[in-house]
Amino acid sequence: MRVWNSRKSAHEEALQGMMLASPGKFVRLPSDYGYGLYRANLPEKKVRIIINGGGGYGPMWAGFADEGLADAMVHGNFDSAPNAFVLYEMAKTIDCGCGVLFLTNHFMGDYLNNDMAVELLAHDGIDARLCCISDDILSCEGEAKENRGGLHGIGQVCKICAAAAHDGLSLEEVWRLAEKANSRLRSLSVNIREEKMFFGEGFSGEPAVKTAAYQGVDRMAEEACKILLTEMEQWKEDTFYLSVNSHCSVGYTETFVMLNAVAVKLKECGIRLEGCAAGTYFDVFEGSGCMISLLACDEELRRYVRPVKGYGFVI
Amino acid sequence: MDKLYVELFQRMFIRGARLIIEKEPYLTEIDSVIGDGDHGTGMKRGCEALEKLFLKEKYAFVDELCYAVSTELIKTMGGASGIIFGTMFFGGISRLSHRDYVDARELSEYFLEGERAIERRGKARPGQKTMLDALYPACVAMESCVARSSDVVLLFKDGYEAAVRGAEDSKLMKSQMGRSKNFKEKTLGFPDPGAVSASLWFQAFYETVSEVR
Repeated sequence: MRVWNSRKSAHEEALQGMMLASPGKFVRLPSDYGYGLYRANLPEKKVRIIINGGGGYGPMWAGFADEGLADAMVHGNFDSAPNAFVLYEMAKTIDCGCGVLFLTNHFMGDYLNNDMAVELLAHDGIDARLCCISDDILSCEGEAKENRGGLHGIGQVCKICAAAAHDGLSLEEVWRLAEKANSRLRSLSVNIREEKMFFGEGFSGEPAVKTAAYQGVDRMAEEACKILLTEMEQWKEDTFYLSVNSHCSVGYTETFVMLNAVAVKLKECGIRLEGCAAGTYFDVFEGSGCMISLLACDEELRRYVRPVKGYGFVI
Repeated sequence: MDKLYVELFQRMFIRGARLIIEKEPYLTEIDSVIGDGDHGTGMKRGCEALEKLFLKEKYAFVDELCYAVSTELIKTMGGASGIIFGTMFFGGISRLSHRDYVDARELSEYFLEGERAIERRGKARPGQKTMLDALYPACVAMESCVARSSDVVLLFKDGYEAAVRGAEDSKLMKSQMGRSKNFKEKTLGFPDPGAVSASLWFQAFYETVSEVR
């Protein structure tokens, strides 16, 4: 049982609720085919960022249409990608001539719908680019990085793009930064259950890739860092940012214990950690455990790393 | 028939939509065995929306007609098939002139370009048990038809026959794309539901133009 009238009406009612909680802050995109919100106070003459994905994932995506993040968000029904036409309608509504960047996690439905939206916009003469985030290091084992799915690292990419757009960069440049940040981003899901720790469990019930006996958070953080750093060795001299996402079954105290454990471990590995944050950005019903995300920034990316605050969370 | 006028083109789409609605139980049946069972209902939803749209809208230009068909399918179908069948009719729009008729060569290029757009977007090729296994042979057949004749009826006859053969041949293939790839060997012996849908469009196109002659 859930606190809603029906699964069908839940998204509509939740967006109405969000708008009541922040009067004047959002505009609802009128559409029969999906759910979209955009900021009421859109900055003038800047590249627009539309973040989007399946519905029902907590602050992702509904809470991401805000200052320092995206200009708009679109989400689909529960566990379903948003419809290409709604993405297209949103882009047409908020574009101011500087073009639109779509950010989404790399899943088949999300990719197809975003790619189609880009083509529909091109037909209308509107510039649009797409960056699909593929930070989930343990998904699609043995395949190219581009084939991987996305976890919560997209939040870090989004804030970098927002800062770049704010500074007046062109669509091409903002898109390039998004791709660069994605290429230097690795995330991992961790969970504990019945005296065991699990790495790489998917949020749609995919089984863990690695399992071991649970011997405390420090051991779990050590293993997590080992997995993440295997692919980040080449950026060891760069600046790292850590983001911990906890599903709502994980408590506040536990979340920060986890953040601390990972930060300590990274330091031991000689990583220069410039910033860390924790929160429930991405949540699924019945979801448990955490996600750990690392971003390695070079000088260029660092220029656009600015804390995003005031949402009940910090990214 | 050297020219296909927009009014007849629209009737072809109406007939295709009706045929797919009629065949929905069959599409659902095969997709339930080798996929997640939603292909038939998705196609039906899109085709019903198309029928409804065409009750009130008449198009003056072929490119506008094809644009309306694709966007309606994308809007209403959802999922991967909405994009794929939307792309089938959208990808080649730039090959159509902005006028009230289209000739056989343009039609052939239109469908081929749509097929290429699906390959690119879906990162797929013919031979993987997808709708491309009907669409691609249809495009090849139409391409070779326009080299010999400018007759639109013949164009759709060749396209239709090749599409049906292609859908039939997909029975011998193992799925390598989408959710049905998890069913592997189990997919042998069943045609790909998307390939069947693609062949149904061509069946309706051919039947509509052949009755005019």
